[in-house]
This record gives sequence, C-alpha cells and structure tokens, in this order.
Amino acid sequence: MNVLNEFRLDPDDPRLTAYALDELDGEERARVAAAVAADPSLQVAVDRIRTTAGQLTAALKAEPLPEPARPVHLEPYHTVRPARMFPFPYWAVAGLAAAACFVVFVALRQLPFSNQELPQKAGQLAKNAGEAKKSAESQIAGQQQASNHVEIVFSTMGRDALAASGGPTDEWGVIVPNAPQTAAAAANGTEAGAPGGAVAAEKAVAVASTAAAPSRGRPPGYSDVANTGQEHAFLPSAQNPLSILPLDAGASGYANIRRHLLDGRRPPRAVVRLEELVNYFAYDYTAPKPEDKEPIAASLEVASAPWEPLHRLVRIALKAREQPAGGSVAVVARNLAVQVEFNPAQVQAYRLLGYENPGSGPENRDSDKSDTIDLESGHTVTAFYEVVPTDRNWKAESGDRKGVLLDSSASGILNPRSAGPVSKGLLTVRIRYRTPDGDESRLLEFPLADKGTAFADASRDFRFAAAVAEFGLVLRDSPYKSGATLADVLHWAGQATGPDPGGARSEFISLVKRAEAILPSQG
Amino acid sequence: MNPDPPPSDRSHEKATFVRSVVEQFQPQLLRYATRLLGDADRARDAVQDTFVRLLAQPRTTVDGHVAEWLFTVCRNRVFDINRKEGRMKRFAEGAAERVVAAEPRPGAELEAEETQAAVLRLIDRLPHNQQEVIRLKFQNGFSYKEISRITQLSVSNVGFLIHTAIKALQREYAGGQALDQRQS
Repeated sequence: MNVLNEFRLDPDDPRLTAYALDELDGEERARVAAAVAADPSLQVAVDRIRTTAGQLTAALKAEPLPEPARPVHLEPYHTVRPARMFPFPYWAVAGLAAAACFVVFVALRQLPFSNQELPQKAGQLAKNAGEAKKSAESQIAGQQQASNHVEIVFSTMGRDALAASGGPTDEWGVIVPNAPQTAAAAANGTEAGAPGGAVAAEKAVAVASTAAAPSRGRPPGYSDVANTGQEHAFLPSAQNPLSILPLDAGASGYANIRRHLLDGRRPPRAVVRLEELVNYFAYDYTAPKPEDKEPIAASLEVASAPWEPLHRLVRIALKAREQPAGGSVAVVARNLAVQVEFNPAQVQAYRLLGYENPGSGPENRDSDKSDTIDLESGHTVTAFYEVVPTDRNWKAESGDRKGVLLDSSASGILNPRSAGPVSKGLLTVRIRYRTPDGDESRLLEFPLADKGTAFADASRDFRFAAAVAEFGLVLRDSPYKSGATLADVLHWAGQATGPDPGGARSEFISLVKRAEAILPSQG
Repeated sequence: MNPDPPPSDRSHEKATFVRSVVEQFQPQLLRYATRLLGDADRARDAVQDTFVRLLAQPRTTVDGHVAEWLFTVCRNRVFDINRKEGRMKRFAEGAAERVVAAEPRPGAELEAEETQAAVLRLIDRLPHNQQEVIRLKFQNGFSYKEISRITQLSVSNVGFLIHTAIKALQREYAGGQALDQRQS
C-alpha cells in the first residue's frame, strides 16, 4: 500500500536465491517474502531455484564417497591392530642394489677381527650379501608380498650376514672411527685394508642413506618422502646469520612411525620427520591475551641439547590467539613467515632439526617467498635449532657431518655453557604476517638471550619436545645424533609427561619402549 | 609462564569422541579435500592432519560445530599443501579449466545420461570458487554463514557465488534440455 515501504526485487537478485534456500533471517526475510508474495514472476523464480537446489543436492549426495585407503590412527597404541595399509612399495626397489652394499658395509664394520683375517671374512660377507640381494630380488619378483617383507629384508640382512659370520649383532649404519679398514672394505666390496678409510667411510654412509630411503617419486600414502636422509647441516652463522623457518610441518608422520613400530619394523629413515613428530603433540604455550594487539605469541627457550650437552638447543614456538570457546576456527595471520637471525658473537654454527623438504632449506632464502602459512586460531608451531656456541671448538667441513664433534672430550662435558656476554643475545626471531583481511603487513621481533640453562632445568614442554626430537634422531640414525639414545629419550620424556590430557605423551612412552625392543641394542 | 592445564581423566572419552567424528566425517572430508587438491593421496594427508589436530583440540572449542571446524581446518591444510607444492608446480586451476574448455557442450550427453550425472558434469564446469561453495552448501549442508567462516569469504560473497552458480546451472541445464528436445 505504502509506496515507501514497497520493496522491489529483481528475479536475478542474490537475495532471492538466499530466500529460496532459507538463508535469510528476520527483517530481510520478511521483506523478501512480501516482495515474492506480491509478484508472481518472483514466485516462479523461487520455485526454479528450489528445483535446481533439489537437483544439486540429489546429484551431489549421490556422488561416490572416496574410500579411505588407510585408517586414521588415533587409538591408544595397544588397541591398534597391526594393519597393512600400503601397497607394495615399488619406490623402494630402486634402492635395493644399494642396500646390498649397505649390508656389506654394516657387517664388516662390526666385526672386531684382525687385518689378516679381513680379506677372507670380507669375501664371505660379500657372498652373504649377494644371497641377501638375491633374496630381496625374489621378494620383488613376487609382487604380492606386502611392504613389510621388503622392509624386513632391509633391516635384517645385516644381521643375517653377521650371524652367518658368528659376529655380534649391533646397531646399524654407524661409522666406527677406529675401523677405517673395514669401512674401506665396504666401499670396495671385497678388498680390505685399503688406505683412505675415512673417505670410504663417508661414502659408505652416503650409500647407507640412499639405501634406507627411496630415491625419488612419491610412495603411495606418504607425504613428502621424495627427500631422502639428507638432513640440514650445521651452518656457520658468520656467513649465514639468517635462517628461514619452513613452518609447513604435517602431522601424519607420527602415525606412520607408530604403524611401523607396531608392526615390529624400524621405520624407514625418510618416514621419520622430526618436525612432524614434535608438532604432533600439544604444548602449553602462552597464547596472546584477548587485549593484545598481535594475534601471535612466541615462546622462545634455550637449554643444553640433551644429546650433546656442549651444544645449545633453541626452541621456537608460536601460538596463535585462541578463539573464545564456542567460536569457530579463523585464520588470525596470513602469509606468516618466520626468520631467525643468529648472533655470530655467540653462535658459531646452527642446524635446523627436521624440515628436510626438497628445496626448503633454511639457508638464506627470501622470506617473501613460499615458506608461509596461514595461522589458525589456537594453532601452535614448534621448531628446534641446535646451536654450537662460539666458545666451542668447531670447524666447518663443507656440508659434512664431521664438522661438529671435534672437542667432545675437551673443556668439561656436561657443564652448561659458561654464560658469556648477552648484550646482543643469542638470536632474534622475526615474524612477518599479513592481517586476515590481507591489507596490513606486520613485523614482530622476539630476542632470545642464553642464560646457560641446563637441560634438566628447562620447562616441561621443552624437555618433552626435545625428547621427541631425540627419538627422531635415534630412529633416523641421524649423523647428528651424537649421544642420543632411546634410554635417554625414555628418561627425559618420562619426567616431562605432565597432566597429559588425551594420553598422547604416555602413548609416546609406550612407543619408545616398543622401539627399544625393535631397534638393535645401542652402545 | 607455563600454567598447568587442568588434569584430565577424560582422555578415553576424548578418544571415543574423536573416533566417532572420524567415522562420521572422514568420507565427506576426503571427498571435499580431493576435489580441492585433485589428488587423493595428498587429500588423505590433509584429512589425517585435520583429525590429528582435532585430537589436540579442547572439546569445548569444537562442540556444537564440529563439522564446520573440520572443514575449516581441512581447507586451510589443503591450501598449505598447495602453497608448499606450488614451489614446484603451480596449482592446477588452469589445467582444470582447460579440460573444461576442451569438452563438448553437454547437449548430446544429456540424451544418454541420467540427470544426476549431467548435473555433476555441469558443476564440474563451474569456476573453482563456485564449485567449492556449491559443494559446501548442497553436498555438506552448510549454511551461508558457516560457509563464510570456512572459506573466509563474506556472507554476501558466498550468497553471490551460490546465486551465480545456480543461475549458470539453470541456463546450462535448460540449454541441454532444449537441445535434447530438438534432436528427438
């Protein structure tokens, strides 16, 4: 009646669609309803929209649901049935020839026989290895074999060869520095006693790494296994003061490792990703308060590394603002990038733990590029750097694992680092992100000073996360594992379990015990 | 600095809760993530990550809107994966559009196919952002407001995308039927 109140609606107005789909509330709904009631062409349009919506719903609901190829692992470990979730790992086949070399190497290095006996033993072992290789090939020929067959071949070949020679079984893949001849024999295949053992030993390690990991291609179901055992090396901070944190840790790695261990197998090196292990667990980091302007808080902490007390372990943890309970998930920061600047006055060298993605190294990359994530409310990110302080005798050797431990016998093992001047601090963490609307770029800075805290005095979350990282180093048999052992992992993690809502930390303890039973005993 | 969370004896209850959520939502999430990623393997990774995060989430923060929470987290995970892999290969959006452009008009196909298959094919021809909201709305049953929170689009933007998609589908479908009648 009243011309001023009359609400005209075009049949092509999105509000008509919203009305037809019952998406309008209150006043707007009433106004559109009135307009529709007054206009038959709008009624026709509403009917058409509802018909189309019905067809869409019917068609989309009938669209086949994908069958999950593997169950999601969430149960406590004792209730998980061992299951074979992966098809035959054709991707592992490429490495098997190398695996045979690996066997020879492992077997030889563990036998404390004299030089005179060497050629004979080496020949015998090479023969054993050849048989092992043959058996591996026959496994491949029978492609119905499940994945664990091949992996068992992998992990027991060395032991079989040893048993045949009457030697002791031991941890695999580790160089014994005072056995250069055996390492040389490994590299040469049959001949023992050649000079240049150290070089050969390095080659043998490289072969072992290759054997333990797929060379290329995506194995079904694994994320990012394209990368092999190559870990980030220590970088001298004088030349490389800046490091970009990759941030893109997945969380499925832990489930993979658990599956392997529950099936009684050592997880292949490429599956063991430290960042995924560490980020699997929930930590109690300080969240930004509602009144804080910034939606991200950083919890930085440094203490001695449990596996190498002369080194410092730095934890960088970020936590995004929590939503009020009952609220929904929201992205609180977009294109988040984290850069760490090490102070060369205090840091000789540093190494990022985990994050071994191809091409995502921490070295000097432009933080504007792709290592960014969108941070959701309540989400946390945890990363570790192992740091060699300047008062340690350390020498870089072109991307080589030997750079680190030149002085483990010198200057008081287990003493916390003598507190040096902290004027500039150990490092500074810079966080750049864009606000969720994408308009404003913001930069936060968090300095960290090293007060020489011993590992045992670090916070509970720090100790637990470090124990998880140490577990990863042992499982990977990392060239940087130094003194890491499963016994230490159990010790530290056991002390840092805390209230453990959800039981994830207790389950971790069980898993470490499981690994103790599977991995060859440690020295 | 490190306040202890309240001790909880409810880990079992939590595990049961998460297990029931997995059972209920895993297939839908997989279908959604597979559509976004175009790759079932990576979709499985994204969905697995989503449930692992649910396990670490206090239940009070998800109660009442679990589905929305799951789709939001899963979507963000998908985009993280895409961003990461974008280093090597750009997101396959262009490829999908090229496939669409190369396909013939649907008229002849409509003759032989049943309605649902035809509708699905028509949906596949929509731009990515329209496809996504259409799926969230009609496949997963989310409201405009929920879709807005999942996709970080405004409610009116969601409404516009759905409206545009429906209009396009009506045109295409009518066009197909008209062709159909002319041929018969």
